[in-house]
Amino acid sequence: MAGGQPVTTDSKGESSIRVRVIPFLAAVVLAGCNRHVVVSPPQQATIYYCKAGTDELVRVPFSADPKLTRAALATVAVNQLLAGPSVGADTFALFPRGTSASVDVRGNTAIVDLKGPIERSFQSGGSDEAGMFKSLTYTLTGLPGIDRVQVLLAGRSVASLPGGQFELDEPLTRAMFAQ
Amino acid sequence: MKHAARVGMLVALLAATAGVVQAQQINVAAVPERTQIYLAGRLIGFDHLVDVNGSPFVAAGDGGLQTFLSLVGAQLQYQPGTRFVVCTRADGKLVTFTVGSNAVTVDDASQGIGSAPFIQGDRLYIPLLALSQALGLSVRTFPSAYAFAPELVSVTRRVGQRRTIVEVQATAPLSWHAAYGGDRKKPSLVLTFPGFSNSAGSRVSLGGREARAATIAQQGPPGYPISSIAIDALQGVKFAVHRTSSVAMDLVLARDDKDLALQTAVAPASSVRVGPTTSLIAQPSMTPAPSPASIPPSALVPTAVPAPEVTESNASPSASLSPLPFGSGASPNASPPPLAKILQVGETDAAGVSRIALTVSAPVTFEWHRLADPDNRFWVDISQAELVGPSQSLTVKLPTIRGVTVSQNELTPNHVVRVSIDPTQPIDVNIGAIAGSPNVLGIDIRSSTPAPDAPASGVGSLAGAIAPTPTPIAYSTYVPTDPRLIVIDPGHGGNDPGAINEAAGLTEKNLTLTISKRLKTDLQRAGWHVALTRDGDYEVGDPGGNDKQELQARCDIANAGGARLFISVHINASVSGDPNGVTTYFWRDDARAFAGAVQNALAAGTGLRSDGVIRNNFYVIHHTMMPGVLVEAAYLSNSHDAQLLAQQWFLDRVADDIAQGVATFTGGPPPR
Ligand SMILES: [Zn+2]
Repeated sequence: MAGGQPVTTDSKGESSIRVRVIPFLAAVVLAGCNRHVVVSPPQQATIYYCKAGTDELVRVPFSADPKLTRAALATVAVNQLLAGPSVGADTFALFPRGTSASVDVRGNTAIVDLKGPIERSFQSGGSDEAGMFKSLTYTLTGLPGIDRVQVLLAGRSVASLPGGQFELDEPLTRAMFAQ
Repeated sequence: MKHAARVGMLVALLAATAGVVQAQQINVAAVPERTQIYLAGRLIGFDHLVDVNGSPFVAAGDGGLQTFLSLVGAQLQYQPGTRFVVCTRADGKLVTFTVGSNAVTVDDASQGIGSAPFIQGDRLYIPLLALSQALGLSVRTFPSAYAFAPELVSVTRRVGQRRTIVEVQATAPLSWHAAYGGDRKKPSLVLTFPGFSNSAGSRVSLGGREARAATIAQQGPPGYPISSIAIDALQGVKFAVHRTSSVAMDLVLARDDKDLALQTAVAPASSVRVGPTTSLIAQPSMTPAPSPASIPPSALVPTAVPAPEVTESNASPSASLSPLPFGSGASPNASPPPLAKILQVGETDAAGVSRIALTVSAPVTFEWHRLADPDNRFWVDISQAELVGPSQSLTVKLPTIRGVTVSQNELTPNHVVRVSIDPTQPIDVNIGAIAGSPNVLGIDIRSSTPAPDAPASGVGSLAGAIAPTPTPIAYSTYVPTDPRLIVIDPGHGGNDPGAINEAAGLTEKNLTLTISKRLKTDLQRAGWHVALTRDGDYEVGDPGGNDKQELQARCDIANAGGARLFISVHINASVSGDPNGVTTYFWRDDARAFAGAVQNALAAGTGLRSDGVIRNNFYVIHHTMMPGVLVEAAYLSNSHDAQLLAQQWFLDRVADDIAQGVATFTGGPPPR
């Protein structure tokens, strides 16, 4: 398992990158409940990273403790997204350093509460910002039963990040990123 | 189903007859990088587009071709290994291409084409221009682009005893905006068809009883035609607009409300009878179309159209609404369509306009009614719909509106969701799909002076909700009140610095202002009026206001000014030092071609990498009503780009290039 997961890009004709991920360990640690023992079969999820400077998604398969609830699985997946893959993190981890997230699931909507320096000001530009929310939306709506993602900032609904441009006051869906 | 069978037979026939066709000598080259294909203002990307003697050919399985065809309601059938391609048009006609053959057939008629389809490798290539022509699209050729558009092909009159019907036929699924005007003495209707070119003539006589004539015109920038049909009716005439198929609609002009309804061939419940008896009662345009020859000619002119009792007596007025355009397979005996869910109810305000936005899970039909002054209440009933969640009371900004409620109407046996607007004085209301959001029904309320005796009721449908493509043809209802005005928004400002490159001593808010001021001069020199959302280092919204107020304040300047275009200027930045180049963002389809023009000019002018034209929901291009773009010119976080951004000539270059993009898109300001 720890031998690495192949990473494929969504774009045509690009060669695959090999990235090492240790999904079980990450899942257990980030969920904050290391009493749980991994049993098979694990839950499967996909983390969608966005490549900096593009709107191109990179899929990384991911396995998690089967006992995790939907909300816990969603939280684990989002934190894995924030952390970036273990290789190539420079171009795949778009969320500003220090960003953390907790996720609640209500009905078909995942509610993501973001915290960190991002609460005060967002310093990157439009491509990182759009990439962040595209990858977040794809990752969460790839989980069973989740179709929409509502982003909160420190518990509050906002129109955008401070200094940001991307609209956040309505739930995000994959369709919104359709070109 | 009938079409599928026809296609299947044709495919089998062609398979049997397609012998070995000698490949001709063909010079195939990649289409020049810069050649762009637009359809109804939308830039279509192709994976397999090649140039053959100066003409574009596209592979049968190309994803871009699929998008292209689905936008005009067409479908392509091709089995790899065979030597022919069959395409079903939106109107059901079959277009057939055969490898090596210099002819295309449309149903049974054959016409010559310049170059024949060919096979190279394992792909079959079709001539794009001939295909488009066979699909009934217009084409405009530019030095490095082809712009295709569906057409209004006919506007014809049918006369009834107490009404006039104007039939409109197009070559792609119709979407339109209806604007009612005038007063009781001189009522008028203007239908606008964004993305459609006009080949239906310029004037159709309407006989002089309900109206004298319909005027048909085409406007819009090159590459994004907008056609319109205008009718000035005579005293007391009311209008109704009905969709009769995906590519056809009927405009009904009558003085009595009950003559405005279009009877459906499919009556509700069990009273359906299909046959000669009903075919005289039913509007012929509503009978299934595939075999028009089987309808007796007399049935095409429904001279006597007293509304038949069967529909008039029905409890639900919505039963007389035209069915949705894609009721494919809906037989008369089919169970009623599943309820559309109203998933979300939203409210937004712009200068002088409040918009109620209803997100729906499926296509809906609706009817609206207004009461006369001084009551002035206005309501919209959405049929076969279910409101998810409790009733909602909305407060809108317009001072003339006491309130708006959205509720399940429990008084009707059918499922009706009612939106009630309670104004203190007459209002002007527009209802339609929101541009860029085909599954959102927008109800725009204006406090502007109303037409005193505008029609008291009408019907419509929102068809896009389950459209097979993510973004259908652009739908824009905006008409600039100041078509010479362009609003430029220098990104950030005041306590929001935007991105910062400390090492280079550069701050985004200063760069965007420098570029914007130069852009203003450029555009003024070209004859435009220009307004900046800020001309110094300050916040545009109230000091201490939140982000929404700040961004909305920028939108309000453009909306209140009735601007033609909106341009938000930004400098990009990333957590990674690698990304570089220029990107232009748009949100609604009405800005796609504009974004393409700006991006092309920027990439060519600055020599920086083009990171593409990307659709994204940035606040200021969502909440401005005119075509808007957000430009991210170079990366402050990239050392090469930052070196350029430190130099005045480069900032001038960026401004000049954006101005060039405006010129390309608009062809210049309107004449004085
Ligand atoms: Zn910015």
